[in-house]
Formats: sequence, structure tokens, C-alpha cells
Amino acid sequence: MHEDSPRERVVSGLGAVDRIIHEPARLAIMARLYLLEEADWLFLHRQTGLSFGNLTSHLTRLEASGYVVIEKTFVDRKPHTLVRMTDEGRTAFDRYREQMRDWLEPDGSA
Amino acid sequence: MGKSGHGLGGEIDARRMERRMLLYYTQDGLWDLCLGVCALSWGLAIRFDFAAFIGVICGTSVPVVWALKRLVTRPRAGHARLREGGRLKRRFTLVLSVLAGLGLVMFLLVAMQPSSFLRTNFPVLFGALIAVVVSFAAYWVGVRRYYAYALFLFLAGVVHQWGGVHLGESVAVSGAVILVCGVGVLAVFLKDHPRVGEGADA
Repeated sequence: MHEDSPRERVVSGLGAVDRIIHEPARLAIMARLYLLEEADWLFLHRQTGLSFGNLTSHLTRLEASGYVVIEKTFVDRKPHTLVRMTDEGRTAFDRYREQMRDWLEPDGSA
Repeated sequence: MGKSGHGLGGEIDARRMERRMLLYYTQDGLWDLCLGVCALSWGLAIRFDFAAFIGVICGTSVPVVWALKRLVTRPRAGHARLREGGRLKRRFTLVLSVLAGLGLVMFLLVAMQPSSFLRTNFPVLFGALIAVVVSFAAYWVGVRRYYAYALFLFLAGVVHQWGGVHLGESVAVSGAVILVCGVGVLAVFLKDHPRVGEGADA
């Protein structure tokens, strides 16, 4: 019976990486939201350097995956978007980090 | 270690992220202005023997900074809340309270022993205590210019003690220098962070 080599296991493991988070722009958003209770659209725009269209589309994608919740309100008659990471998003991000660590450090070396 | 404060190989560096957040929210220079105004008014109050002045300025400066944060900083830098924000505030308040308690003890010792070493060197020692408080804030938020402010305030006591300059004047000059630095930091912040409405790219 064929048994996967450590290298094969690592390569096949990479295929299981969460592609929603793995995209650089979404990873930047998730990495910031992970340690935050909440952040507004402007904060994420300043921190990630993403344009309005990009940021909106990536947030929409993350919301559709259930990783963030987006709350749209009006402050002084101007739109105000507040973003929070869900428990599901937090779990997915933990799992993603674990997978990437296994992939980057397959022998367990830190 | 990534820019976001994460290390894939280790635990998420929460402290690093906290510092980045605090640093982000001190780049508007408003706390610099607050410290400068307080020190300047404190110096003027000593110089012109108008003690009520310092109470009014220091009592109103913190609410004014919070109001300005909402009016100036938030529309330009955005808003975020740390998950561990409450714990941070509690720890910060505890350390500041300990330092304030030390200041009170120093005052009491001076009052009880009129000819003591403390009374003779009170301006330098009190300047050092203020400098420690400001240095602690500098360490906490990771803003290096606050260390310079701590030095200015300490020097105000030294210049008075051994330079023969009136304490009010030396403190007022230190406050004015800090105020000018704060105005500079605020000007850079306003230039680098124009108001951006949601839906419009910067």
C-alpha cells in the first residue's frame, strides 16, 4: 500500500487551504479583524490600502462566507459601515494559520 | 513576523498589534497638544500665581481631546476597537494611579518635613516624577517623541533648580516646545489623512 511521503502530505495539505482567506487582500482584512472587536470601513481602507471597490468586494465575499458581519448605518446622514469577525471567521482563520504553519514548517521547526 | 502583528509560526503577537493600534491613534498629535497646553498653562499659573487657571485648563483638556478625536481623527483615520481594549485601559489606569500615588506621597513628605532633602530638591524630583509618567505613556503607546517631552519636562525642574530660572518660566517654555511639536504632528496628520467618505477612493 502506497503511503504519502512527508512532502506529498504537505503539498496535498496546501490544496485544503481556505482559498477565501488565502487571497492577499482578504488575508490582510482578516488579519486585522482577528484582534479587533470591530472596525469601520475607513479604518480598514487606511490599514490595508485597498480601494473602495476592492475593499467592498472583498468584504462582501467574506460576509457571504460567514466570516464577517457587516452593519451599515448612517452617522450624520453619511453611510457608516462597521465590520466584525464572526466566531466562524475566527475559527477559519485559526485553521488557516495552522495549515500554513504546517506547510511552511513541515518538520515542526519554529 | 508580518506587518499585521501575526507570526504564522507562533502565537499572534497581540501586544505588537495593540502597540500598532495605539501608535495609529497617536499620530494625530492631539495628546501632544493636550500635554503642551497643560504644561504651558501650569507654567503660566506658577509664574503669575494664578492657581485656578491650571485646574480649569487641565480639567477641560481631556474632554476636549476626546471631542477632537471624534471630529478630527475618526473621519480621517477611521475607528476600530481592540478585543482586549478593556484590559488595556484597566492596566494603564492602575499604573498611572500608582504613579499619582507616589506624587501624593512626595507632596505629603515635603509638607511634613520642611527642611528635608525632598523640599530642597522638590522641583527636580517632581519634574522627574512627571517625566516618569510621560515616559511610561511613551513606552505604552510606542511613541518615541513622548520620551523627548519627558526630557523637556524634567529639564524644566533642573533649569529652575540649578540655573536660577523661575520655575513658571521653565515649565512654560517646555510646554510651548511640546505645543509647537504637537501642532507640527497635527499638520502632518491632516496633510496625510484627508477626509474620505465611504464610497470615495482616497
